[in-house]
Order: sequence, then structure tokens, then C-alpha cells
Amino acid sequence: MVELRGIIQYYDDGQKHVKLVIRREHSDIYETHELGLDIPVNKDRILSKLNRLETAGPAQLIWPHHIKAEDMEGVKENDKDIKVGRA
Amino acid sequence: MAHGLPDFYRGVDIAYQALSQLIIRPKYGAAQRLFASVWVTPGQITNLASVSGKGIIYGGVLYLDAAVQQKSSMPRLSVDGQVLTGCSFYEINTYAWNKAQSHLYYELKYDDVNFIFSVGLAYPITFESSFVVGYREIYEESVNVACQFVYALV
Repeated sequence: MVELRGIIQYYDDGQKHVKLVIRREHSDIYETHELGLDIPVNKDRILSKLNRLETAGPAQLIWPHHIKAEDMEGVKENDKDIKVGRA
Repeated sequence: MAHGLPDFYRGVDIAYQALSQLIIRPKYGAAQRLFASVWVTPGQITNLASVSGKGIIYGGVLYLDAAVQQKSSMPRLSVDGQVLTGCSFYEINTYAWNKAQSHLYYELKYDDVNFIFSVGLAYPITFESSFVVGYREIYEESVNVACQFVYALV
């Protein structure tokens, strides 16, 4: 069993890094795995990686509903920032 | 158990089970460091880092040492899809939000002569689905912005 616990995206050295945080069955230890560099984040790509991470027989994957496979480049809505109240 | 059911069918009851104390240990998750550095898009919002999951931000800083003025640009933080910040470095400095926890982003360094700006993040901040660290550039210039955060996924 592989349970997805998080998707991390960040820029460094001119590249976008994408990592997955997972937990395995009977373990409280979180593992971080590189998904790729400069790649768009989507569910198919993540599921493919999770399948490869499952080493004990047929893949049993858990994807919690609160984790969204969104590329951070697309998360730019709400551009109308909250403005500071003027004294 | 008096009712003929195994003990584990009964909810936790300190009096019934004659426990002297009950220790609840929340699952914290392991602290992780997130560092990001990027040349931002001039005149636009650039996201530096994003974490999808559930957890807590223990703290962080966002900083830049630019060659051009950036005092009206804005550090951003979105939590669970909501933008929580909308203040420029200038506004944070003008209103003297320079004490820890005085504002979501509080001032650590404001140098509008050498163009060095740094803000800290008030903590802790919990997130249920995501947080995104961003920067809104105002001057139509590309500058290098960096951030460091410590957080935990649960």
C-alpha cells in the first residue's frame, strides 16, 4: 500500500522541482520521491509514479481527496489582493 | 468485559477502564524544509513554491537582494486557495509591522536604497489542502526572489 501525503513544487537553480511525499503500509515514516524536473503536474503522471513505488505485489494506492494534482503555474487566480485598510 | 463484548468494542472511558491518564499524541508528521529561488516574471504574480496536502507551516522567510527598486512589490501566501496577504514591503514598513506575529508577513529587512527586502512569516499556520508562496512584481523588472519555509505534512 502506498498512500500519497503531499505534492511539493518549487523553483530552484532555474528549474521547477516536483516531489511526492508518500507513506507505506504499517509505517509512519514519510518518504519523499522526485517526480521530475520542469514537468507539468497532473494526476496520470503521479499515479504512474505511485505505481512504480509500490513494490509489494499489485499496487494499492490511496489518494486522499484533499490532495489536488494542480500545477502551481495554474494557481494564480485571486489576483485581486486583499488591500490594506488605510489608517 | 461485563456485557460479553471484547474490550475493544467500547469507546475510551477513563473511569470505566480505570486508566490513570490518557495520553493523546497527535500525528505531527516530519518537519521538512522547503527552499525556492526564482527569477520572477516582470509585472506579474510568480509562484515560488507550492505544497498540496494537509499540515502546518512552522515558519519561513521570503527575501530578495535586487538591483532595482522593489518596495511596492508584494510577497504572497495562499492557504487552501485563499490569498491571505496583499501588502507591499512599503506598506509593511510604513505601518511598522516589524514584530513577529504582527502581520502574516512581518518585516525583517527594509532597505529601499540597496533594494534588500526580507519578511518573516507569522506562525503557525495550518493548511487543509495546500499552501502557495508567491511574489507579485510591480515594476516590470525580473528580480531573483527566494524563500525558505519549514512545514510538516500530516
